[in-house]
Amino acid sequence: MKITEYSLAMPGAPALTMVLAADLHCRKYEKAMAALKDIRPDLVVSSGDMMHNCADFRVDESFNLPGLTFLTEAAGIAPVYLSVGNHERAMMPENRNILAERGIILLDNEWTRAHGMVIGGLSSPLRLRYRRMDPTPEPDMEMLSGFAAEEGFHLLLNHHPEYWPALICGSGIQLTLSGHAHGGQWHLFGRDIFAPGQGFFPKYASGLHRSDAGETLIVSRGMTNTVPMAPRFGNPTEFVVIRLTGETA
Amino acid sequence: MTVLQLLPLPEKLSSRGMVLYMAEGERPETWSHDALLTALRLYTGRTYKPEDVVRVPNEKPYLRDGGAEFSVTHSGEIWMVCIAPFPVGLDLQKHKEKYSPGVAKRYFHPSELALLEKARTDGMDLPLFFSIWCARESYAKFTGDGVAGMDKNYTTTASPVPLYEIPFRQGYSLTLCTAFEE
Repeated sequence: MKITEYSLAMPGAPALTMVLAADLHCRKYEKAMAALKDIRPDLVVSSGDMMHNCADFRVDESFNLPGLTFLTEAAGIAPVYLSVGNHERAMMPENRNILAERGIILLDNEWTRAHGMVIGGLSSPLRLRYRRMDPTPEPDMEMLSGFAAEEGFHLLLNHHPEYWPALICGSGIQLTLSGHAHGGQWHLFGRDIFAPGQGFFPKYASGLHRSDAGETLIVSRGMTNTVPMAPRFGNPTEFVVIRLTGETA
Repeated sequence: MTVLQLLPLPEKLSSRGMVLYMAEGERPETWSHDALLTALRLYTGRTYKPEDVVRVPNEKPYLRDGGAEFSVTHSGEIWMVCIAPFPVGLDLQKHKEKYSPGVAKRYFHPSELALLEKARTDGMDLPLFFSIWCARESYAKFTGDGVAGMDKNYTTTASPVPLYEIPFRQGYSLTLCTAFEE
């Protein structure tokens, strides 16, 4: 697992260190947890898909233990904010209590003011069993509009990076953190190869992207490999560390 | 159990077989599908199963048997569905305490921004923002293209498909976008 660090000097941002945990899909997390203990961030944020079960989805001990345990242990180190990926989309109402009891703050198309910023979670609208070549349906635009209207520095946890150019960029949301694309699964000749919702040669499958106005998107390559039949190539799993400062460089 | 309430519509729409149902409760997204099936049963007299409502990404959901057209919306704790024999787009927006000028600039047509600017001098820009947003969403739902797929030249001030602003509670905007043969 590769640990990628970004240092961002963004006007209005609080000075803090956060870790972006994305797309664990209930796989092994020991290396990530060791890194987390070493980094000791001010907060842990997740753009979703920490759980995995696809069929009768419930965030409970039997189905989703690794995802839940990682987030629980992380909550013992720093506050944890989780937004809803497509693998958490079908979460039953009672599962919210399980997360809350473990100190995991779920942002399901909602936002909160904490750590000197407004932190929002834009939920994935995808149910499981979608076709990977299909375009991603639109998210809750009412949430986006309301979130952007809040004053202060905006941190948006948004599972689907493909939303950024068409729907998020230009609305004044300073920092968006995403996953879902798994780094394009393969990285060949300097290009990510395929991501659901973006198709072949996706533009937003990994790395840092910035608009002319300075709005920033960071896409995690994800913490695990979910396609054993076609293992990652040139695309290591990733744990992202973001060091924010409020001053311009 | 979801309690559905029938809301009044302009005679021009109701006389053509359009109905508007409303329900109220916490987290409408968790019971929206059940409420839709109930409303469809009331309207068509047929009992539909969840799989009878076909959902394709980036397209309007539709009934497999083509029994009726419908459009669902919810905002806050209010849920609504409009059902008709012809295509319809419905959107409800609960007004918030403020809006983002950045969002308006990002999504609105210059003619709509000009109206918003004019309203700002009278202190009426907040309700206007939500009215325009609501009208644009209803058009996006009518076409099935969504906000991202909207024609950049589209403006609610000269909509190619008629928009009907339906009076509802204070602090809400409610718009229907629909077309039918006269």
